[in-house]
Amino acid sequence: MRSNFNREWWFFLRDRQGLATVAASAVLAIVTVAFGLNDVATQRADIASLSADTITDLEDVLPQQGDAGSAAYYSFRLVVDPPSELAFAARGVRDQLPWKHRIRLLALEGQVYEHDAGNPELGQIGRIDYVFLISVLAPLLVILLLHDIVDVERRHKRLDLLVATTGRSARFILWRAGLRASALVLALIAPFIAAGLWSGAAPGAVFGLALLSGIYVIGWSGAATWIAEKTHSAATSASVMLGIWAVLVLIIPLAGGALAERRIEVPQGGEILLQQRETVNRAWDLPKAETMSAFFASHPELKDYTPTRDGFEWEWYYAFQHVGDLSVRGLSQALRKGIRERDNFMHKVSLLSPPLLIDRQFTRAAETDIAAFQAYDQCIRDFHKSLRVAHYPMLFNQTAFDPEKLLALDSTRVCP
Amino acid sequence: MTGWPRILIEEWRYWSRSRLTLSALVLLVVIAVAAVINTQSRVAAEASARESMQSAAEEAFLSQPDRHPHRMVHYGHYVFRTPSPLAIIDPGVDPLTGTVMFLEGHRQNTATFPAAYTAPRVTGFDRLTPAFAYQVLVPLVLIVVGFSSVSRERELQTNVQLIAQGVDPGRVWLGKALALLVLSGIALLPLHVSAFGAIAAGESALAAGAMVIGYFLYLAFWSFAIVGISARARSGAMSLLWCCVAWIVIAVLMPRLAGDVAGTVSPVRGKIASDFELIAELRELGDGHNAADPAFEQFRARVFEEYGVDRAEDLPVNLRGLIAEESEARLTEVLNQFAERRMGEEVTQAQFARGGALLSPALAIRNVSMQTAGSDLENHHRFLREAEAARFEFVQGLNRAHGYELSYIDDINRNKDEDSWMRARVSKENWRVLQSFEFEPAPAADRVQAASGGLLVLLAWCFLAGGFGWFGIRDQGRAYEK
Repeated sequence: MRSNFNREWWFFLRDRQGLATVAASAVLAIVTVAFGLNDVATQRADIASLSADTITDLEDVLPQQGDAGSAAYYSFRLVVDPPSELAFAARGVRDQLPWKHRIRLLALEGQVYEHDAGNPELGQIGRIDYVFLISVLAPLLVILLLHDIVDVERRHKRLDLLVATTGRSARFILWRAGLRASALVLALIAPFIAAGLWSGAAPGAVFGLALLSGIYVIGWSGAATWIAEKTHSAATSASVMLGIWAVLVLIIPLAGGALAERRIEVPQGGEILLQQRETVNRAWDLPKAETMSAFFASHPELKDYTPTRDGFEWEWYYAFQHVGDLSVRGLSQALRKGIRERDNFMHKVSLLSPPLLIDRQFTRAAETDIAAFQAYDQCIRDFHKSLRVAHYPMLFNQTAFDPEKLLALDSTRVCP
Repeated sequence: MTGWPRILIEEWRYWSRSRLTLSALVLLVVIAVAAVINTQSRVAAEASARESMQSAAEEAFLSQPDRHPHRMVHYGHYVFRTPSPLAIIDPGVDPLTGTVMFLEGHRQNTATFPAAYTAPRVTGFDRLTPAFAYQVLVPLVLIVVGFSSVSRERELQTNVQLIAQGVDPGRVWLGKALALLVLSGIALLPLHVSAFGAIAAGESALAAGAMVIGYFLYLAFWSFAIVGISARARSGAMSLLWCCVAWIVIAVLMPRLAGDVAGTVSPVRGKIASDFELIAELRELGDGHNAADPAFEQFRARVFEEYGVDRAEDLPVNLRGLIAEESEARLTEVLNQFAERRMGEEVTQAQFARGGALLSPALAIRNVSMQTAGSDLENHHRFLREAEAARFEFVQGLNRAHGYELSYIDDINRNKDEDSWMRARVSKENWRVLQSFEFEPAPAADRVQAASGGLLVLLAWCFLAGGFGWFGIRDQGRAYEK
């Protein structure tokens, strides 16, 4: 056993291409992890400065307001979804969907879809994060490393001799492939483990993902070795592996995605916006009583209120904002349900595509997947609700208007 | 130059006998056709949904009853961005940018609801579009088909026969390269179908042609590069190895690295961050809802002087409307200043990433493709600017109706009682200030001009790869002659 190891180790150390591939893998792992950590740090700094600005703004605006209505109208609060400790490894939807919102008491459906999500052209290129390296690039590195391990001996006419001297036919190939695959796995996961522990992620999650990545790379290595043995030339083995790569990494996920979009319809976002605006604006022309009774149906505890005067009043204004939200509740829920169903469908697709499965495991652990985005969306809704609960007593004259009380509310809600 | 057509034909005959090559070609056709159909149907559905919502929004605005004009300023309007015809080849940033934008007084909102909002997430590569297929997948197929073109002759030692027959190495190179090049041309057929579809949908032949030329140059680069690597590699296995390394680096790694470097080196502040700076500046402009705001002291004095009166009540026009118009104009100036700054930062960042074209032809074709399609960042900004112009136009039209059609006395008494509320309104005829909105990307000539730099870079890459192969094969020919 020792002699097998020593022999293959000696060979590997003299294989310039093999060493270069493993070294390049280590460099890539370090680079992707470093970019990810830098990105997370930028986002955290961004959130800190935005929440400081929010406080300054509120402290400036609130004391100037004479009544609860304008206080609510002019006070914006921040909702953010800070990156998790593992977000450096899988940036997921955070490049494409927003993770920060400025919210006030007006109709939420007009605010929750605001989209402050970075430069679309960079989003379109895509980022090279660690999970991309593992799920997409690592199989290619495996192919580069292992496609020629059998054929090189055949070309040098050593194959028969080796098979004859090492006993059972494929023993030396297993040693050779195993050694190389292990070197590759080490090069790929060591930087991730270091960065994960350094950034304070739960060690269990870090080692779990590292183990998963290791198994995945070993799996590809096994397939590559098997194909290398079964085919007659390095070129054929590499081409077959590239075909498998294209099917698992590209064809199945992309076809699955296209199918999900076709099978599961979601409402057009534009329709939610149009309908919500119609309800909000129609209220101006309806008798106030109509809006108010719709509002009190959902807020019976505020019913005691008596209209103060004709014409404009803030209570009524915020009531029809909320009624506007209620009017599109069905569409809005259908939209979120559709997104969730598409994601569930992709989960099934991922059972056919290990690269997609790896991607989903990483983005789940890093809280950068669709489920995390939906949790953030729900968090915005909850925060808006808590603001309504806090403002309504003042708006409906049940308690006195007190800007200090409003200042004491969360200026920034950190989700989830 | 004789001899090269023969080599070309022989190369094709070899491919027709190789199971591996044939399966690669079948894969190529399936991918290209699937990409074309998938993107075509998706973009068509998107376009028709957005167009119908656009006309619904316009109808809704125009059919509003008589009311106070400022109500209409906040009723607002929606504009939808319809994708350009060439988006069926390259949707570019379209799936990531908002498709609908709410226009109202005093605010510039973001475009919301990008397709990415509802799209299922897949492995790093977002969508199977023709652009993606031709930029990333087709080169891989060309590699599998062509990596052994020259190395095979050497391994079978048929190159010695060729040289003995007096075939010039340059012709071998020409024949082999042309064989792959013709294959690339055939591979581009589905793209041509899409391009003609776009032309039929109103796209200019200039832009579509420039795009197709771009893709041809890109695949030509790969054809030359593959033959070059094949000529210089010691063996077929080495040739394949180096072709794969080149593909990973050029088509997969470099574009993303360029994006990450650009994001790190040239960061962009988000909309919310720049809004905070904006708020500070706006506070000094005054509130246009409040005609008594001291910020409008001078303006008020000027209006009084112009009409020779001392009180707002004596003016023949509605001071509140005039101030709303003045304030919107001042505000918009500041809003635009911040919006331009933010867009400028985004363009700088994008250009930084695009600069990677000098290191990777995949980035060069990516730029050319989005620029000719009109689906690049600049055309998204063009949409934002046009939407802003539409916003300013209808808001100011309504403010003028407020100033000249509505009596000041009725206006300030509007909240007194039900009757005053009903009196303080103008005729719905005034809603016609809204112009119909239809977004079109920049004119074809401008788009092609924007892409011309990228096309030149692609051409340079072709020469580089061609020279790499030609000199490579000539050196080896010489080695045999000696």
